[in-house]
Amino acid sequence: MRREASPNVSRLTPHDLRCDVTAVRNPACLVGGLGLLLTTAAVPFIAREGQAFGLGRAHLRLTALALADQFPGFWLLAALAVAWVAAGLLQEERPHGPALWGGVAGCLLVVWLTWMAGVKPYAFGPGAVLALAICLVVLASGLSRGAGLRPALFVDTLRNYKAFWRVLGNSLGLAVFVGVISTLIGLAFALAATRSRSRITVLLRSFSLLPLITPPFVVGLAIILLFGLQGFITSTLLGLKTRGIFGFPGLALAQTLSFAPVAFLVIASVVESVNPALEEASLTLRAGPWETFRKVTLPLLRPGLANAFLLTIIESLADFGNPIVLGGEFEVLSTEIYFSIIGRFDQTLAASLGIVLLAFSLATFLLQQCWLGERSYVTVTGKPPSGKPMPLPRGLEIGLLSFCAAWCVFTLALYLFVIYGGFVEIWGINNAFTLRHYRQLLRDGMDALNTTLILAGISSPLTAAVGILLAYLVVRHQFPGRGALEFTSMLSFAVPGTVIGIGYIMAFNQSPFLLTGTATILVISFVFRNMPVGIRSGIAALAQIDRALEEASVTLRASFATTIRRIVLPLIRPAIISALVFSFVRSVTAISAVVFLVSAKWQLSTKVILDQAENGRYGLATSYSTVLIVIMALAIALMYLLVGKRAAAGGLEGGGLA
Amino acid sequence: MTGQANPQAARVVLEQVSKRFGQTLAVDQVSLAIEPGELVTLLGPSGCGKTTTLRMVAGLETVGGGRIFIGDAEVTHLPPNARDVTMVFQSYALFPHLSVFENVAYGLRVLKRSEAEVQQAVRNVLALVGMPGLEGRSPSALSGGQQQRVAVARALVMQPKVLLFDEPLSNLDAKLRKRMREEIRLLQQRLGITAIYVTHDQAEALAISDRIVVMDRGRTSQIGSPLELYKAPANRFVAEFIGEANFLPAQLESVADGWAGIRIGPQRLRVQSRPLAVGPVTVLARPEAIRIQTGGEGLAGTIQKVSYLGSSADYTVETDLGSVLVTDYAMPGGVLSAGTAVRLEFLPHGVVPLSGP
Repeated sequence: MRREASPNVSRLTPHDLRCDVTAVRNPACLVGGLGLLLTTAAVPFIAREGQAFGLGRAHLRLTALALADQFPGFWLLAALAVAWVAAGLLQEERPHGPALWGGVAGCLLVVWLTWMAGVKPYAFGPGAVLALAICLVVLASGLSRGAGLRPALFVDTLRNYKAFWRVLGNSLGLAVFVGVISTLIGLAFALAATRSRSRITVLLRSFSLLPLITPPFVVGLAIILLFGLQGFITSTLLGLKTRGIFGFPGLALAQTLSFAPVAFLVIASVVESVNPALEEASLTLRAGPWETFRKVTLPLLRPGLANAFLLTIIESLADFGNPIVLGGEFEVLSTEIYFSIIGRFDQTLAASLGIVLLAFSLATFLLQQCWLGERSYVTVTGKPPSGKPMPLPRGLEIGLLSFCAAWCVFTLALYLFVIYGGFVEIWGINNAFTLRHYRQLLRDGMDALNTTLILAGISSPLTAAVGILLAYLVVRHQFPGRGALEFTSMLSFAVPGTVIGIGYIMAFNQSPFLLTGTATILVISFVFRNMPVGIRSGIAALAQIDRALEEASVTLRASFATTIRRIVLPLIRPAIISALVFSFVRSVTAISAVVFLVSAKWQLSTKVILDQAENGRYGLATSYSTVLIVIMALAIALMYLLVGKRAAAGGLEGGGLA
Repeated sequence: MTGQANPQAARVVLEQVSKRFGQTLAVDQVSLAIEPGELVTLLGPSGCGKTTTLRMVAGLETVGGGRIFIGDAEVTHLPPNARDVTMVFQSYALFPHLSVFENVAYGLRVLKRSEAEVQQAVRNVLALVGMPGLEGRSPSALSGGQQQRVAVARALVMQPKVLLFDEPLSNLDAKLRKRMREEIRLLQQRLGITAIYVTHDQAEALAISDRIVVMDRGRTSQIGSPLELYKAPANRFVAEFIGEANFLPAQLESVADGWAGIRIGPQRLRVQSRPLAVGPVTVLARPEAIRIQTGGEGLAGTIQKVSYLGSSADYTVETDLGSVLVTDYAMPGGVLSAGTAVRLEFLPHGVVPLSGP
């Protein structure tokens, strides 16, 4: 990795670590560890209502019982505490900001969780996992080492960086533009897919899955193959020799193609939940279909539209794959952060730009959560509304369907070109059929592919486990800070991958968390990037399961662990499978965060594609992308097979019988 | 109470049990002793703390204050799976991914009983609740009444010291509800098992219970047998909650040896009473203990409204003391029509003086 040349990064080799109990120089680890140890030891003495147990024999027996049965996370926590203290003793560096704050935050959390566990004992297991998770996230705020805690440095860095305002303008302008267009296209698709009587709506639905299985550079590469210097349309058909697609036009097109399906998903769910009785009421009140659509349906969709718009902005700001191959001279924040580290070796600049990007993403996320969270006209009763939704006015329906069909054909063409691109010698110059790229891929690319699949394979069960445990905590237990926990867990969705990437390389570049360049940090990054996927599917599944089922199990003598194993897990199996598959898919296609974390030893497929595309070797890049698309499609198909079968066997509709 | 001795049945004692949710005191110092083999009902409107109290006995809610004993042992802080208590839930809470047989066998399997023992016990208990032959079904393929029986069987098979019912019949239709409550009562008496039953339906409580605990805003309002609660309600809340009730102003003229002389309107009568101060009081008058006639003595009034209910007729009668509801089962003079001038005579067995005017 080139960044090792950076003067700012001091790394320790294992030789520097020696056990020197007398010279404990890092109070952070020691304080953190001792705090953990103390709170761990205190668990038995904190009663369920928060008052201390006495030390009578009955209480001790009860404590042992409770520990064995109700606090599965206890031993995990104890092990963590011991490890932390050991790390503090082995540590020889000067105090390290993130580690210190991580330790303090971790201890506070453990105290909070312990107290919470007093109220709801079985919350403790997931709670301990959560404590781990949040400690790591806090540590990841290694950004603060770069510039965050020194405002003067932050301001100076940005002042010295001449292109700052242009880059910021580019990022925001692009995001808003793509937001508007994607939302409109998403709306068109949502209406066509949910309200049309036509059969092609099934096709439109599968369209929404495309971005999930698409490796990050595919759309960009396809656009280059069609509109680039040697592009099929620009060069072969029109005879133009232009690089005009690089920059704003190509980027806007690529991002719209990538994010319109996201907008579609959001808007479609809102369209579906509009109570048909409202439209029927309007129709019986003498309004025609057009008037009803304009005056009733559309206003009801407004929160959904705003939601889709803001989500698309977050995605566009965070996007790394498209700008890196299509950006040209049009710089945006995410790529500038990358080039600050990889090209300029300037970590301070990277961190400062990262903070700016993070601020805008979080602001949009907050807007989306707080402002829109309350503004839903949709009433959730749990009862499927009766009545059929109103069909679209005829003219509108035909218009929408033609547009969507055209868009789908265009998208499909892009994918076909990507696949085709892997089979020609040199695109636009020598179009002879060849298997050369695939042979080269078999020779040189298999290591990275193996690494990718293995690491994604390790991280996806972890992601699903952590996500579903957190979902369990959020759904099943009322406790102080529950809302905050739910919010925090969703936050990692809003943090752009590039920011996480630089945060990680800074936070984990110092002992005892010397992780840069290891597989561990890749797995950690996958897990925390994808956790919201697991949490969301977990919350959706658990919310459907009557809590009395677990209570019934417990009153029938089952322990917490038995209840989870024999009642909860079987009932949420579909959610577990989908969390597994989606986190696997997202890990394989990840690029923005991991681009900073890969090393020669642990190379990932997406980074290989990036290197090839950056060097103009589109043949190899597209053939590699094709292989990834096939793997993703297989994974999704497997999931449908597993979940579909389960659903056929009775599914969740019986869940709770309430 | 049943005379049959069941060695499993245990005494349950609540000692000043309290529970707070945030700012609200859901259960406020409830004390209660339930004898072995007794069925006690917690009765009250929603939000009165009856379900919370039941869940504290089950161990599903932590106990805020006070102590709970089952048998000889204190269980206040024990987790639910360490108490010898099972529960029939309002939603039945049958495990949807398990068959009827596996649902009932669940607890036995947790206890790692031998397969032969599980088979034997499950078949016996399913026969006991009248559900043989449906072991292989999925719970979602059962009717509401059948699900209810499976839920009861699943709780019974554990041979618990105490059996808890949390509004078990509220999801059934009226006819089935009546039949199921009789079956539950029969089963409970036959097995001689201690049971706590939560309901908001006073008719259900009266029909099924050895004793009823009427709860109001987290406190016990009165504890007594169905007859005691009906005949001698301790306060207006209990009187109103159990059966229909008129509350009328009256004059307490004398009290002695558990009897009181009172005057309601023009009528003087002697009724059984707790010791109360002489002076103005409110009396409870049950509608079925008022004789309505077109002539003779008594409180004068005019019929405002008539509802004919088949076996009886309900009259709303406007009098000087206010509006009075009268239920006439005998209907000696046929059904009277609205506007008729009538006289009301209060029968002593249905009149209870309550404290305060």
